[in-house]
Amino acid sequence: MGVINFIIENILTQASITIALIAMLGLILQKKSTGQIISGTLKTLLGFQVLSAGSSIIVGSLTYFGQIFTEGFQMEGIIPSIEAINGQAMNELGLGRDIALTFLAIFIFNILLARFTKWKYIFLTGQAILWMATMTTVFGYFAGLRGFVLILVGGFIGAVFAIAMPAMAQPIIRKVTGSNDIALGHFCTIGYLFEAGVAKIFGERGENKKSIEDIKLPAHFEFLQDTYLSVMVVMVPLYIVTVLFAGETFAAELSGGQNYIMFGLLLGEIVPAFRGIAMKLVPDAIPALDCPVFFPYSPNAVILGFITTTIGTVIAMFTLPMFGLAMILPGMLTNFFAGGTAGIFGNAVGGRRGAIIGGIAHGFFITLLPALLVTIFNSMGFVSATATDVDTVVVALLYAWILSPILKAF
Amino acid sequence: MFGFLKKKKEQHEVIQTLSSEEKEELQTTIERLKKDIDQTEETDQRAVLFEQVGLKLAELGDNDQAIEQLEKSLSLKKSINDGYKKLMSLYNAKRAEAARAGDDQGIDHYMGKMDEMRQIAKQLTITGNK
Repeated sequence: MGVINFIIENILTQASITIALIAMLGLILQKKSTGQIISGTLKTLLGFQVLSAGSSIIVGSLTYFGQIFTEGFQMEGIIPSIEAINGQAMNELGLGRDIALTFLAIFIFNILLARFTKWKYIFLTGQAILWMATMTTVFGYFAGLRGFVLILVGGFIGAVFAIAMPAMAQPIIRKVTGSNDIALGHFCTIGYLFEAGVAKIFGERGENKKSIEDIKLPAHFEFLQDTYLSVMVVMVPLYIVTVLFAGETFAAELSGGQNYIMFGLLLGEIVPAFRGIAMKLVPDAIPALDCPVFFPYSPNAVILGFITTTIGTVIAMFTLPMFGLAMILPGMLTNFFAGGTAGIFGNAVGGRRGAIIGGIAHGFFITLLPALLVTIFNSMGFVSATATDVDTVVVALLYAWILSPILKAF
Repeated sequence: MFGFLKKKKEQHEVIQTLSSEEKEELQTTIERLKKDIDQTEETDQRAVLFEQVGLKLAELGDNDQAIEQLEKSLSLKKSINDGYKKLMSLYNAKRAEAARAGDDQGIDHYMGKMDEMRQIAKQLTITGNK
């Protein structure tokens, strides 16, 4: 017994060890060779330590930005970053191990739900699951949950979202791809459905519905690049103003792309290990894949979605502070990936007009929800923090507004 | 087990809906396209021709050959047109087949292929399909 306690208290409390062991388990279950198991496990271990170090740098610069911004403009200004929340949760609250185990629990519950219910979705975007695990762990912790219960509740709620989000998006995805083979696995889905809803109300209908894809753009690809250029022209001055106040943050925002590579290293070992098992246990699974997979089916809508969402986020950035909420600075990566995918939804449901009005509304929506979360984060001691993936924000709000009051009542 | 039978039946039906004339016509088109490939030197054009051959082969129900030709097309020039979408769905069908057969390596192989496809889509959407 003493040995087991020693292992739990001294070795398993190291988040990097836990997550490396999870990866090792996956590799063993896949019957990889000893060499592959050793190298895969070590790579995960190192990857996770790089992740911790990297996110503490981001946390530092984002917190600094928040302070400067507050002093300069007399209001709270925030660049949403789930990486920063993850970093703070791991480094300051010591929740790294719980996040890692919740990550694993979400995977397991997802497989079980897909195996035994009629919803056959297997959520394969590892990064999104990691962020979901981060949110459920942080908010579960503040609701008073600890240890095993914290992980089980987070794993179950995360898995319900991992099944429900692809399932809810599927009618539109089926329309766009023309098949039921693949599903969308991205935790921004509530935003996409919001855009689809707005597009349904305000968009074109019946015979008047014109898809943006029907427009043959002259010199299509040059136009495309010009668009990014023109959006940059709007965004860059916006950032320059803030950069004047906090130089490091700009670098943090730009390095967003690199973070993805870094996380890729970490998830690269775990996700393949488990998806093999998932596919075998649920042979008729519908894999839920990351959003870029759907870009080829509606490329013009992606561009339109990016532009309109960006407009919406800029409007929200200036409007929300008037209502006493924090100023949320638009993130280009979110606007591109979530905005682009939302554009596909808006166009599919409400044609061009639906995509334009829906896109702007989507931009506003994905800024409003993180702004609502800021106050809660502040009360928990996370300074200048919020996240953009709206499904994870909704989960956080569920914990904060429903689960937490219930638990505290007893 | 039930899913296995169902899928098999669907595939069978697809093949049956082609009449022998239609099949012949497809085969003639494929032969013609293959000749065109031999006579074309320009890489982009060859990529387009390989894509067309792949799509026709998929129509015929010859999925393995179709995958081979579509892969050739993408290796010459990355694109996110019909060939891309067909290849994605063929990979996914192969993945499902491997899953039903309990073939770990097959699942891994085709999931890896689908990952590569996602990277292509991401890359081409950002850089403007160049």
